[in-house]
Amino acid sequence: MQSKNLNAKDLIHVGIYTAMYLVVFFAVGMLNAIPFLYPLEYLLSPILTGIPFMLFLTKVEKFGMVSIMGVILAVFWYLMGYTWIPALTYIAAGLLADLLFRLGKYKSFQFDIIGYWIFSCGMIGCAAPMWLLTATYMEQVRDAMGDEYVAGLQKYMPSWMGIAGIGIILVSSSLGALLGRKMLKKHFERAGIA
Amino acid sequence: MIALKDVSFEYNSIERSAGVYDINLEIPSGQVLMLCGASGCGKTTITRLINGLAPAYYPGDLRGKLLIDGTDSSGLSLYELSQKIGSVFQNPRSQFFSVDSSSEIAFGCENTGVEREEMYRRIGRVARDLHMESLLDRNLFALSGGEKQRIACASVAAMQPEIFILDEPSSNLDLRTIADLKEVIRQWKTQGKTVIIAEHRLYYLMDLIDRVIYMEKGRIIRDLSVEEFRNMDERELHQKGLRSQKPIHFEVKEDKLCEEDALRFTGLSFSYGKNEFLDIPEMQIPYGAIVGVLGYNGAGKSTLANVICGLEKGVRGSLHYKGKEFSSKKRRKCSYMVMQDVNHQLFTESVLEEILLSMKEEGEAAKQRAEEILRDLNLTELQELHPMSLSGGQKQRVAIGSAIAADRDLLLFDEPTSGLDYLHMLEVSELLKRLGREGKTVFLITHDPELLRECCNYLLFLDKGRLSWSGAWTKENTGRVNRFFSAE
Amino acid sequence: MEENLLYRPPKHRGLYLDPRTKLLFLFVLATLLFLLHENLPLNSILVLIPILLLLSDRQYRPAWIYGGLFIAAVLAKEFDRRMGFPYLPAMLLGLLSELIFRFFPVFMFGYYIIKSTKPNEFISAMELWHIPESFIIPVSVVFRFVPTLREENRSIGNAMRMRGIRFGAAKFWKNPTMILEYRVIPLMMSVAKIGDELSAAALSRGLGGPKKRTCLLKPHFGICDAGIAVLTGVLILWTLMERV
Repeated sequence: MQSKNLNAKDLIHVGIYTAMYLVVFFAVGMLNAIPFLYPLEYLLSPILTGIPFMLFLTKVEKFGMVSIMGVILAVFWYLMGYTWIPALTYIAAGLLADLLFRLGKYKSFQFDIIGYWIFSCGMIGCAAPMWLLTATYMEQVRDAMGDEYVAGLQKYMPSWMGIAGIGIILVSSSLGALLGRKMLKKHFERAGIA
Repeated sequence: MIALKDVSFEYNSIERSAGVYDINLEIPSGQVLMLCGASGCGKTTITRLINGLAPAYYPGDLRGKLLIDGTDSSGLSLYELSQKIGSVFQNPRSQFFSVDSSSEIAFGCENTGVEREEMYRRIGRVARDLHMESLLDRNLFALSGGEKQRIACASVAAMQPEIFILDEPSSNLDLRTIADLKEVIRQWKTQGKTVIIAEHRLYYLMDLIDRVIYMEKGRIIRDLSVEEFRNMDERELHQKGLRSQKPIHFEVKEDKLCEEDALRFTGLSFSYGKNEFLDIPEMQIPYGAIVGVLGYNGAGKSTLANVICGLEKGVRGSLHYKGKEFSSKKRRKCSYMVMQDVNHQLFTESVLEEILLSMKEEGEAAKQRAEEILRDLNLTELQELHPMSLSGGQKQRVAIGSAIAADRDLLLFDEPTSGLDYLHMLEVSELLKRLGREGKTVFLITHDPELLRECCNYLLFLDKGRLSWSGAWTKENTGRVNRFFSAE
Repeated sequence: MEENLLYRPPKHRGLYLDPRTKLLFLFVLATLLFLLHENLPLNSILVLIPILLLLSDRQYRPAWIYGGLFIAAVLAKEFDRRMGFPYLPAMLLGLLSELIFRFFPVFMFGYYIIKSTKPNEFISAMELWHIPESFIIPVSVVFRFVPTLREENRSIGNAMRMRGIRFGAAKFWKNPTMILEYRVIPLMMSVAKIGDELSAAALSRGLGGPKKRTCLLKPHFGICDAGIAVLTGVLILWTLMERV
């Protein structure tokens, strides 16, 4: 039990909380279909997934669990047709977050917030292909709407949304982490589960 | 052979299950042994000590020595132990790892690196031994609890261990599947395996076991041969919190029920999926009835309960209560079901809140009535605790409390006593009787013969979605119930 | 006698594809669709493949719905080109049809894979590829838990309705966040508990042991896999030719 390597129990936990994360994410992610609502999703998803994620962190004591979660989500997004961009961002976010949690020895709440923020930033990748996709789509729109419209669309949609996303997610993931911790204290710890 | 020498164990975490103290026990090979005792007596802990989950998975403080075939088990890993000892657990829903039945049976073999052809052979043999050829290659989520439990037994048996450990395997099963389980254990016995069963339902094991260990507060109090145990007085058993070791016999009861009908169903029909449906042209339930809803798994008992509560969509037919028709939506407001898995209906952070959530009243009045209810249910001491931190019986009581607080007229209970010992079962039964006296109509889905005998005054038997018969404890009906519970 | 006792895995419905082929082709499909640029014939083929496979697996309903959607999208696009929709509808329609052209083939192929493949076939495929256990075990747990979450969610929803916790009820307006708490917390409690018990049951059956795992099912390549391989080659070439 003391070993550094992940054992079967740890791996099962990764699976369970990845499933929970995905289900909660998708419950919110119905908004996913409409790209203009991405900012809203940046706001909502990290808040709600905060509960399963904070619960997950109570089970994490070793390096690797959060990274594996990132890899699974990455493969999942790739296979969902979101191309390699979210796959890359999720793997990177998972690894970085895991490193940060480890710096906090998997106990520090400050590190948990920052790590969770970075982990949540992985979702920015999901929107990225949409922008690229709209870029090819722009060609068509150009014929119909004219250059001016396209220029405006391109100007607003892609460039600042990614950066603004990081900011929005910082706020929402902090809220999510706080909510998660509140729920842990209010329910899970008292029920003897966490 | 298994030997426990001066073993004591205490859990580190705030585990609900109790620790055990000064256990000395020798179990020779080929013996079938039953561990019994009231809830929290430590029988589950003994099973965990033998299969190694305590302390490897459930950390705790272990003293003393545990020998399995002469080797000290503290030197063995869970993986090594898993090849000698097979474990079946209480909850059929939580112990399968795969999604289809054949993979689940193979799961243990896959982990221990058994060759594919050998795996095919073992699955074939196990399926024949346990009479479950028809359960192969099925979706596990579509199987009933009893079928899942048999898959769990098969999965363990395919690993061909010498020792089998079963922790309350019958808690979620009905009579017919208990008979199947019994058959499985009999197979193991004839194969000369050692079988250790922690159980609160005793009667079905009486002609299989060789020896009974009775525990109290983490200690072994009696070590009996099966003959001695069989001769024990029923009253003595009940005092110890044990269920009867003999089949329950039902007697004709002459309760006077109101002539008038409280509930009347007409042309009730509902279907979902291909094979599951409910079809009840006509049914009446008298005032003040505590209705025992009987039938095998899949007979539509839970569906009927859901329909009565207004939880299903697309139900045809009508339901009159006290002469007025009640639509699904209206029924949702006047009925309340305590589900089999109470975990699903406990929402708040304390027992008191849980009761308050159900109430229509507000402020001081609500608080007063809530405290009254808690007092009646013996829950006052627990009122600040989180409902999920309670034991099964206590959770059950909280759920019943919230049903009372909701002040609904129709109350439904789905297996309220599964996994409860005799004393807790009596408590539940007293509560149900009180609700009946207060003029509520109570439906009780149960496989628990003792509970049925204690509190029901009306019976209803479903078979494949149809009403087979219903009525009070008349001579005819009593005979039917006796036959139902003695059939194997 | 012994021979009769042998268990044999059941035959597959419709065309048998090796799970490895399915997974690889999913990657190919996801990649091609990304590279694809305004090529209706090629796009149609990419749409047709999942439809045919769905039909062969007797998944008629999704196949027809999906086929219908695709035709509708093609028609709408054609109509737009000839007559021209006004500003906003054109924009929305464009996005929707883009969704159908680019994302649906992968969704549908994914749907086909999930419906036609057992989780342990994936596992055996991954094991053949020497993917480490620390990835395989969590993935199989995800497969196992998604249906569980659905089941639990339904029961909890029922319990909430019975207690009158829902949007618009008097209790709800007093504290709207409650609804979230009551929905999510019992679900997670329940799943966390099932997970703990599952771990115990899995460990007591030797999961995570030092020995190399074996697998009940053995995936094997067949003629259909060869067909898919040829098709993949053609599609890749075609796409590349377009790009140059």
